[in-house]
Amino acid sequence: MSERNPARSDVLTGGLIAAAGLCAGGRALFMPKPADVDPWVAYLTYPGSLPLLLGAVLFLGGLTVCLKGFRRGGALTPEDLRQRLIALNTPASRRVLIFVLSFLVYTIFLLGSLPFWLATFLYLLAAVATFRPTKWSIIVLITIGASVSLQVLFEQILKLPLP
Amino acid sequence: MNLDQILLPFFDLLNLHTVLYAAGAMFLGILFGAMPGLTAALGVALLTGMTFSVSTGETLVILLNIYVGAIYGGSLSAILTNIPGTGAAIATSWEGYPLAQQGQAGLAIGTAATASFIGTLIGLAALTLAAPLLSKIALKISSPEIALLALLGVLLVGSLQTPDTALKGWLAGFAGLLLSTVGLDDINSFPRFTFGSPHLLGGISFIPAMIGLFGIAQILDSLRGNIDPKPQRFTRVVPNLRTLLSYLPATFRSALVGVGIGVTPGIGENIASIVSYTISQKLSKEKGQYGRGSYEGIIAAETANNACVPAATVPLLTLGIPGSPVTAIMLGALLLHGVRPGPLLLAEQPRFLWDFVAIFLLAAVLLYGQALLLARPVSKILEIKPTFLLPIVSTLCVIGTYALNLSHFDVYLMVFFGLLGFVMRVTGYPAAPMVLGLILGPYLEINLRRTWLISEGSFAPFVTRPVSLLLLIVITWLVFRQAGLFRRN
Repeated sequence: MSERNPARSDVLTGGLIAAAGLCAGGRALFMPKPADVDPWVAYLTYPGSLPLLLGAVLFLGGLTVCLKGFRRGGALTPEDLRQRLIALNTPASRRVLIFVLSFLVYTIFLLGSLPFWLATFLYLLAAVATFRPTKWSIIVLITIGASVSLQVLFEQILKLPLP
Repeated sequence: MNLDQILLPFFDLLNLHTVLYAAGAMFLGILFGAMPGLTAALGVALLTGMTFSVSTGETLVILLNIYVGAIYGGSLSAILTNIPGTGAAIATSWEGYPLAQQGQAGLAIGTAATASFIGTLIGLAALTLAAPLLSKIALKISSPEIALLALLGVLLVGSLQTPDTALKGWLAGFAGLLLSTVGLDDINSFPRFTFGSPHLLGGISFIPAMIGLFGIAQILDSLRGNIDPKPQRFTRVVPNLRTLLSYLPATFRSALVGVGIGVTPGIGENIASIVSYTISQKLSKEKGQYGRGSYEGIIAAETANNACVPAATVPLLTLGIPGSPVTAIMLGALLLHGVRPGPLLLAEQPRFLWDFVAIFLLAAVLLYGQALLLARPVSKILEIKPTFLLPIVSTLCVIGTYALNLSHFDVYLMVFFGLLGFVMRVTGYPAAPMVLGLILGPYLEINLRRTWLISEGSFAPFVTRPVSLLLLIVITWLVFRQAGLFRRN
């Protein structure tokens, strides 16, 4: 990986952290302060005291990371973004993306809408099939076996409620 | 105190009925600990209700064995999958997983088991010999010290666990501290950063965050790389005696850290293992090995977290104040059975202390036996094709997260932290300081604000109390030592 890549990611992540710190600190500043105490004590002990301090630290720290990234030549250009997107089109990246999508569908849509074993079977089938490790019949057998076993183990034996 | 009161508890345990209860509880504890999300606290809580129909003695046997087993069990998933089963195994994953990647999972597990066994024994020696004395010392640690300990923990882990600059590690830690402020504020009950969502009023539990940051992020990272199964070598599981003896100073030091943190009310094993690990790394002659598979690192983490377990019962028994989150649940279990822990308990029923000692001794033996028996079969998990294993592990992460509060929102949080953790890995920000920030944030905030409320805004408690001043000096030294904040590791 080139030196520019970490520098570019530092510019982006540093900027995001600084922005998050600024927002959190700003919100904390306007949290209610106790009226019946000394102002100094009020600022040290009101609900926003630690978030304000942490927001300030994150803002300064994020800005530092961002500026250091710029100094190392990490300025982002539209061409950089285009190259980045092209670089994502690898088998490994596609594996990750498909897994993330199937996991999101499983946790957000399937769980709670279908019986646990069925939701899990569909998810495992999609996730494992992405890799095509063996014949379809074996994939189906293993995934259905795993789903049912998990349901029995946790719900029937350990008495733990399942989503 | 006569000899009968000391010896009778040991003889009482030596019957098949009790040993079976203990062995079953130990196995269940290991299982709970090994499953990310199924914590020792959950295991103890679940079984507290079920122990209503058994005697007080049997209740103690069951709950203490689950506790000991779960604290060890977290190391299994930490070593095999880099997903700590409990917060107490976070540091174990840093060394155990690289060893598993090198085909040394069996020996790593055996080392963790041995360290846990020794830690439990040293912890119960502390329980036996120093219960009253340790309680007095622990009472000297108050709000200023706990706040500074929390900050020191985040700074230490941030500087040691970062693959890039210390600043990135600290930013991750401070982000974790900030995330810990989400929800109702502990002192004024003011809702912070909830954005109107009722789900966030209770704050962000560190369990979904830990499972996401370590578990899901690890799975995604594994998918990026080589996903062939790792063949495991089983030349031995139990570390040889020479190796153990060479790490004896680290073992005793770690046990002392575990005991010291265990007897301090309200802190617990999670922090004990991390503090012990970081101290060990600082003092080690094999610093370069840390992060690449250091047996000393595993010993430091596992000895401390298991030594913490008996020690955490010291303030419970002598003061009626829980030494850890799990002992807080145990307090409830004891009250259910009509036992009121506190200063009068040991004076009126001195045998109680020896009941605990005997049960912990039995637990240590059962732990070692079961851990060694399970080491090889459990290590075989690594030889399952990751194409099957990784999706199944992700399902276990969902189950473990949901089991905490029976909340789908926790599952969504886990997914969010999983994606965040993956991005953090790719961009060089460590996840461990963020998790530690979430764990230590409440300790830091409540003790900081309490100190200032009592001192009316004065910083004097931080500089006039000896332990506080020492911690402040260490923090200052750590920050200025990292003056090359921008130097890459």
